[in-house]
Amino acid sequence: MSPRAGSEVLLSVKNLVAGFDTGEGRVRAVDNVSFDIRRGEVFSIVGESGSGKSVTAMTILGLLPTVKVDNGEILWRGRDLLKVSDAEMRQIRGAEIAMIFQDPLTALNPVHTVGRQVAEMARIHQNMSKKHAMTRAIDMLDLVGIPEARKRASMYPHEFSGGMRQRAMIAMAITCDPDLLIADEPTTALDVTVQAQVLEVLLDIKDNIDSAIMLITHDLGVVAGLSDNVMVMYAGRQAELGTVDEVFYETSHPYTLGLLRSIPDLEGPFGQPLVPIEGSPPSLIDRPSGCPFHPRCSMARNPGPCTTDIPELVQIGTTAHVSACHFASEVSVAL
Amino acid sequence: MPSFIIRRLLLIIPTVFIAVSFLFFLFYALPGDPATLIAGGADRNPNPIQIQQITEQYGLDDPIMVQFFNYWKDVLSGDLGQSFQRNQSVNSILADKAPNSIRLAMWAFLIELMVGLSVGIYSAIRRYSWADKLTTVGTAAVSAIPVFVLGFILQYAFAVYPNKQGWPEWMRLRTSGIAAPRTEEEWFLFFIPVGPEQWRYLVLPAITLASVSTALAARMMRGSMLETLGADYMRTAKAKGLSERKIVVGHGLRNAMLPVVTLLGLDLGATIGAAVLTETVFSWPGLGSTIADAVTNRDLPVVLGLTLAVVVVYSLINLIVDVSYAWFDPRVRLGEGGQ
Amino acid sequence: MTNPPHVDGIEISPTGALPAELPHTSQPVGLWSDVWRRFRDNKLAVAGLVFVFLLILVAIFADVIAPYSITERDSSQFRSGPSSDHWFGTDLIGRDVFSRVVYGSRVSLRIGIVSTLIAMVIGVFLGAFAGFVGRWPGALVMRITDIFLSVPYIVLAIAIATVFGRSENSVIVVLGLTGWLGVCRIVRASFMQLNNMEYVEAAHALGFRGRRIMFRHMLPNSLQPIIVYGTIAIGSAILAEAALSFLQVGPQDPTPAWGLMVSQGKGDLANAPHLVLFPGLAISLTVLAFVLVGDGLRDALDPKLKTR
Repeated sequence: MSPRAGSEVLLSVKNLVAGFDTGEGRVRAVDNVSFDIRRGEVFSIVGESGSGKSVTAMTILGLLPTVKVDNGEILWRGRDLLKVSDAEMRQIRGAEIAMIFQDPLTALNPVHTVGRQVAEMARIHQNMSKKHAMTRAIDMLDLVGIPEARKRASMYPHEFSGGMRQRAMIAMAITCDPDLLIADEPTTALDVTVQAQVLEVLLDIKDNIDSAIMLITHDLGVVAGLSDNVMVMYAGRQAELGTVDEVFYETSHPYTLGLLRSIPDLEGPFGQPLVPIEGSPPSLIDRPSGCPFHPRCSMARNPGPCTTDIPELVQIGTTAHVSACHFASEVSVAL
Repeated sequence: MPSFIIRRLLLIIPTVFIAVSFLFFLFYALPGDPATLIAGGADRNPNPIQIQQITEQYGLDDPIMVQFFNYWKDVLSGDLGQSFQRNQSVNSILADKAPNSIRLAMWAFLIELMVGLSVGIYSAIRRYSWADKLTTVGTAAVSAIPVFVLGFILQYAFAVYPNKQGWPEWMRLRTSGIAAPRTEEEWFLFFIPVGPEQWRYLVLPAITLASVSTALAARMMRGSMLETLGADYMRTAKAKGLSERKIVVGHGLRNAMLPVVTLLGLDLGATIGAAVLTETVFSWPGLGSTIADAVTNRDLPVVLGLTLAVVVVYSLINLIVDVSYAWFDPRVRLGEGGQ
Repeated sequence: MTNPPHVDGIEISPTGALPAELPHTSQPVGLWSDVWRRFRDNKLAVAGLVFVFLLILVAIFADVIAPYSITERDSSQFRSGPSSDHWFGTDLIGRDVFSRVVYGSRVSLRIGIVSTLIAMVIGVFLGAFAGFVGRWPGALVMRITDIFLSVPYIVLAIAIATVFGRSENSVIVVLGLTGWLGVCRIVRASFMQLNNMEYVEAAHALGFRGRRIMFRHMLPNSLQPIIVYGTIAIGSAILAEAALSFLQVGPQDPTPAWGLMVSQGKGDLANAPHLVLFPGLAISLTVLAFVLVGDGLRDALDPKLKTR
């Protein structure tokens, strides 16, 4: 499941720093984040609510008017998305990079039929006539596994079930054959059984149209089943980044360790207590000094660099696996 | 849907009945004797025999329930009674005055739609701009000014003052009434004034009447638009690569209009109140000034008759509003399903 | 559930979605000091509050502020414009307009506040009842309010005022009896929403009596829309009172009701516009002040943060 060697890098985020103003001060939601995504790859970003994963994704497409980028580059096929014109950006949105959102009920316009919303993609990006666009829309709906696609296309979002709606959103996103599909917590609002189906659809699609997927989630199970590479975020910073095997089996950050440990073990002996990560995520305005995770970290050394120095990303081994911990090498031993 | 409409239509009947009956009994609690009033008022010391005649003629000494019954009997056969004050049947008063009120109301509604809605939309799109701030304060200010005061201000500014200063004829607007002769030829297509004279009489009252509801419409539209702009599907539309105009107009407007549509109808209640005042200020011969007059003169049949007409119209308009709401919003039309 | 980023207990939306300008949220009010701070930041609202405060002072100290009494006549000046003797000029029979406007504040404030209180009490009770009990009693209350609403308010008001005689008290009664409709709807909607909240279910399960639940548990959480509505309602009550006085169904001469003063002055607009202008200005500013305060309260009481 590792990315094909030599496949081109489509998206390259370098040292992205972004935040927004609140009445209380400036919130730095994304703090020095860097990663690459290659053609055909499934790249997952994992983190709790507030870790900055959604903001990162939305900033790539420039969807947040209140967020200001303070530093960094977002290179899409060599062009810096932070510097392109509005017209160029509109071209890229939907046609080259498409996004599907968390809650399909609110993300779809309630007063337009599903078919029309999907067809809209073809009409604006591919200049198709109304009729052709609708035909394409029906084809897309069919592709994502919606039965009776022709009939369904003239129905409204609220008439669909949750899973169907999410499929419709996926259909809408792939209409123009985008090279990157950003999925922001696509299964969070769905039932567990439906989740699996939707993920299946995503995987099929990926193979079908050869696009990369940036999957944002807080669910490690979803990550394990699908991804090639994974990035763990905490308090707006990267904690760990590497292939799924590296991050899951050669864990090098106490936060990732804590996440993995907190998953209940269905195979283990009955009556085992759950192991949560103590404490709660920090306020992004009033950050702890040094490593943002140190107040909750079981391995934090006090006195030591944890409370005073912000850890930089260090390479683990000889691959692209990195971790932002002063004691990264000692973490796997703890497992 | 049809059952919904029928149910609402049927509901109008008890509404009208209760409302008008309430007023009926209310007036009977009045001190003072209508017969005396008809005869010219207590201070004119009318002839007691005359009073007796009037009492018999109008059946004013019958027990109250008899009068009540008779009244409704007449109404059901289309007769709204005879005015106590004037020598005219209520029906003909209605026929005379109603068209004028309707015309004024139509113009006010047009202004409300065009000015109110566009101001609201614009200030929502350009939030925090000076235009937006101006709108917020402006609408609050306008709705704080009593309708009649606004009427006088406009009168003074555009008619009285120019008159005093002797400005040329073409710059002045007219202040009162509708230019006599009040024939139907003065109006084209029922509500468009023919000739510049008519326009001059129409402008000020129309703006005055429109003021309250325009301010309200602007605020509602702005609020609704802001809420819509923040909705998730707007973000989705942006992610699809749509231009701002397509997003706002294609996706936002229709959703934003929903609550405003309801308001436009409900507004009618306030507009009627404003109409009474506006017509009084500008001496516009419509239902509003007639009702105000009638109440103070205890002209019961006129009050009841006009109220009845207004209640029916108001209920019908509300029904139309509700039905059109369903047309706008497919969620209401089809019910929440598909889960 | 882990906590989203927070500041002072207020949730930040990372997606930048603009918060809605909703009529109300049924959420707890939050610390009063926070509310006051947010209110203070709103310049318009503060301006409104200052004006209301000053107006109340003027009403209380009218005797000291007004140079003349409301009936005192200056026989040398009829219908004259503003001058150093008479800041707002004199009226048709020579009375000082400024003093009358000053005393008029008492009339407006009295009518506005008392009638709103009556309307609020009726409306809150009926609305709470309708929303809490629901089903047919609730529906019945709503039917009644719908019927009342479909009668043109002003006809009703004029009629009732004429029945009870033309005085200040009758206006108060009228406005009280017609004003409860709006707040009733709001409170009912709020209570219906709250009915579904878990702590209400819990209260029921614990065996608390309906009345206790309604007033000790649900009402405090409905305060926000009630307070906002009430403040703005005072403004609209004053506006309505002005209209009724203008139509001469309110307090009679020599009571210096502002609307009545406008009506008395309207005949001579060309030569004595000040007779309409000053009372009209008084009404407008007063209503505007209350509305601004009400709006400010609504913004300040909204626990959802607005990114400025």
